[in-house]
Amino acid sequence: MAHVLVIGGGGREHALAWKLAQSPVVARVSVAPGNGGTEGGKIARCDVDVRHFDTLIGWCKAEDVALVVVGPEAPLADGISDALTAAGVACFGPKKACARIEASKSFAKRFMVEHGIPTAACETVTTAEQGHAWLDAHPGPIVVKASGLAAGKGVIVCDDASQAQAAVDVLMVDRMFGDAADEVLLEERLEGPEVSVLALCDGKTAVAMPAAQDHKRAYDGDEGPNTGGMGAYAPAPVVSAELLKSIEATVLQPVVDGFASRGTPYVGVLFAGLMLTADGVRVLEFNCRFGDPETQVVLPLLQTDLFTVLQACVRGSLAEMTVAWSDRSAATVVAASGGYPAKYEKGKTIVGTDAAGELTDTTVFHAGTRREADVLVTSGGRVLAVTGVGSDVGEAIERAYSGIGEIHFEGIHHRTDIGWRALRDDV
Amino acid sequence: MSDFPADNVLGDEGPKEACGVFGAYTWAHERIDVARLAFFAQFAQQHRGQESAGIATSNGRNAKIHKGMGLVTQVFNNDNLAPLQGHLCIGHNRYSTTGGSHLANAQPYLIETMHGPLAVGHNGNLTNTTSLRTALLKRGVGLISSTDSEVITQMLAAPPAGGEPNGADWLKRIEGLMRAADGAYSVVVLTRDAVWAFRDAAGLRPLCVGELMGDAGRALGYAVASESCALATIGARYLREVQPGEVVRLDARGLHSFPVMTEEKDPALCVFEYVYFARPDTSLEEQTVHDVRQRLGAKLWEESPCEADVVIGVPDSATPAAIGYAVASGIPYSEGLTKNRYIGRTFIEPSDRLRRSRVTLKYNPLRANLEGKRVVLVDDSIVRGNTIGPLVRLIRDGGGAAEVHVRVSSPPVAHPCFMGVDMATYEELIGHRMTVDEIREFIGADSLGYLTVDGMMNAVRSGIEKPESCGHCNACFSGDYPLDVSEWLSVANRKNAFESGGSRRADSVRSTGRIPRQGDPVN
Repeated sequence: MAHVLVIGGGGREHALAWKLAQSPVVARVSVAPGNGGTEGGKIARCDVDVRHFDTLIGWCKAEDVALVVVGPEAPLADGISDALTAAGVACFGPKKACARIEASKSFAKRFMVEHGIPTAACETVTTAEQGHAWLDAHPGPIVVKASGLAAGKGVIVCDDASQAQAAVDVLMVDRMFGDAADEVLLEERLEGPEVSVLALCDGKTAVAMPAAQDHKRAYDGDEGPNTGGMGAYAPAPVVSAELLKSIEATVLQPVVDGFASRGTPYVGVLFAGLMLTADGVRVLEFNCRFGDPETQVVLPLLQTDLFTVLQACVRGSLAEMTVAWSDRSAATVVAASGGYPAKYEKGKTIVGTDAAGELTDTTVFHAGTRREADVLVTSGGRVLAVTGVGSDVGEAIERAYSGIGEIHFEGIHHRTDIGWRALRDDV
Repeated sequence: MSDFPADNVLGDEGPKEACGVFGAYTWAHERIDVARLAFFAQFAQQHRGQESAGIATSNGRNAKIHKGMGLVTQVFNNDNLAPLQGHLCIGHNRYSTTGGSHLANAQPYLIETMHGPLAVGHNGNLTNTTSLRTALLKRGVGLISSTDSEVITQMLAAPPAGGEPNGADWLKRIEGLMRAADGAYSVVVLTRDAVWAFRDAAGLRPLCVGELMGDAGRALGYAVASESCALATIGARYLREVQPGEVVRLDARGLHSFPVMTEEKDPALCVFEYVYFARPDTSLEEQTVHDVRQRLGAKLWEESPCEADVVIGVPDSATPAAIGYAVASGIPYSEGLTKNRYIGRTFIEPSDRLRRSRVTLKYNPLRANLEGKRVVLVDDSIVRGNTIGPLVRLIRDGGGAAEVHVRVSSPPVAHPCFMGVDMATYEELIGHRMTVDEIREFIGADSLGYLTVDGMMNAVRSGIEKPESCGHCNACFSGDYPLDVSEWLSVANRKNAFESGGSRRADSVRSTGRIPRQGDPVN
């Protein structure tokens, strides 16, 4: 019976812990730092300092941790997987060299060009002057991206060249995101539906999970400021089984093969942000970890034991097993603090999570919550998400909203139209 | 309809329908201009209320409102529609006659609650307003108007019995209101992120729901309206009526139905909607009002034939019945009166000389079609009898008709209404004060024939596919009330007491249709 450590404190990590705890071979799931939901049953929070790898390694050995699962990208970019693996602690999550595919957008772009992975035409510039010069030569819709990590906010979508010129100045002259914009990518703006496809990777093989779509904007109708994600659903009706196979073959497997050929096998989750253009699939970006809130809709559909799957990834034996997915659909709706993604208050009492969890096929995944004595209170912008599972996306969405309807805290805000593409586009 | 209320010189004639409501939820990503949608829907329902108009919208976070006195086209313009942004809306057209004609009574009402904005528009009339108002006042709620609609708004603003541990439970609040409120109501409610609509358990006032359609049959959202003609105007496909006692919610995930009180009362749709109120292109109980009016005219010929050369109708509401009468009788139909379509509500008072001939301000006889002929003049109803007499004289003297035979495609209105129509006293009803022959004498017709109650109900019901599941209120003709109105009837009978009560004029009693209070308006 195994002890698993999940690193991170968001809804994604709660979903991972929840799924791992269902494994008959898992005795204990520790979550560092976890949140108000990662407590109870096999799951417990722990306070081990994950930033100090030596301390972490010592704790894992003392607590007989069989597998470490890393949620967020920052520790991966810092080399947590390298350190744990070198110390003999099994870690699901790519090493630093592989994490660059998320940590450096310019690296990712070069990688894609080198390995023939379909993506938008692009230029990397290191000064504002270079940027202005390239834009003068390339009128039309452009996306301006800070190359470094900018908490998911360093991407500016521009309708025309003048907006793009201004965006270059914001990143490279005003330095709104600091060093993250030492390099800036100027990219042809693509049109089409966006989907996320996550893959399990064992260094040799990539296995696609059901495609998901998420909602980044804070308000109904995809209006308002960008957020970490206000909701998601899977499988995205816009991605057929054939298309998913094709994405696996033309996007995901080439990344794994590319890293293998470089001598740095990719072990962990590869997250491909894709656009389905009229000319075919194009990669917008790669992430080196589970998505949030995509994880909250994908994992509930996984039928194979998650611990066994992750262990196979770490051991390089993914090709020998079948990863099975439910033919049902899942949808998740995020409940955020009033004011999010701008200024918001914390410490609001949350009620109704038990009632929501008791509804048919709904699960509450906590994110910005913590327990004060016996009271659950808000502690972040995205407070929690309710996932519903049903025979189709519509039923899944209804169930997620039934759950949301049970939950209340002062200032609660959630989108009311999660899944509108799936419900309205009829594809 | 051809009566002038005594003090409404150039206003629309006849009994006042108490309001038209509208609501829509459009998919936010479609970026529909909902204020404009509401504007055109309310414009299509202008006949249901001409005193004030209002639109409230929400973008899912906060709400905006604009309302004012007058017609929809007088209240709204590009400048005041522009700030009404969002993807969900409600609209309201209001009628009151005397007393309550001021902005404080205009709807929708918009208030801020613990759970965000709440806006309410109401068509109908509650019969237990006094006790509901008292209950609110005792709870410390201050009221700023005398409308039922404000009472409804404040009742919805308060948490239901048992509290709301998990945030606003609007359905429970609405159910609590429906169980507490007696009378007629079709209500639209706007919350932060949904439009609710509900209808009283007897379904006295109409309410229907449709699907907004975009290009290539793409759905854009849902809409509710008092009348289906408003749905057609804004490009919505009629789906069905909101059932009596049903609550519907329109939100991002579509149309949701809650059968809160659907089995608790026999249906009693106001038959006057068929006779006069509704627009002829509106569908009620899955039949077009125009068809019903033609059948009423045909039935009228069956019950009250006449030897004549030409059939004409009082424009515009009696035209379908006149056509029905003509077709059934074989007597040619023709236009006998031209109506100024733009007379509407004017704020210019006619001089005394013009006031005496007010019918001629509105109608002109077509002499070529009338001169020397025996004319059947069909009207849809006679309530107070103030206009039909002058019209008969106009056709005889101005048009040169040899004989004028009046035929009415409904029975005599002999009983007051407390369910949202402004005819609330016996005294004002000519059908109560006089016999048919006395009325004939009074209006100066050569003969007068009304439809019987049975004949009217037969004409209304014969086009309904499932008549066993439909019922009607015809209390104003039969005295057979679907609600307990004993308290009301005593008030209606005590009209004279009010007349002698100083400032309380007879028409303030008439206008309210409920236990009278000075300045009491209809909603």
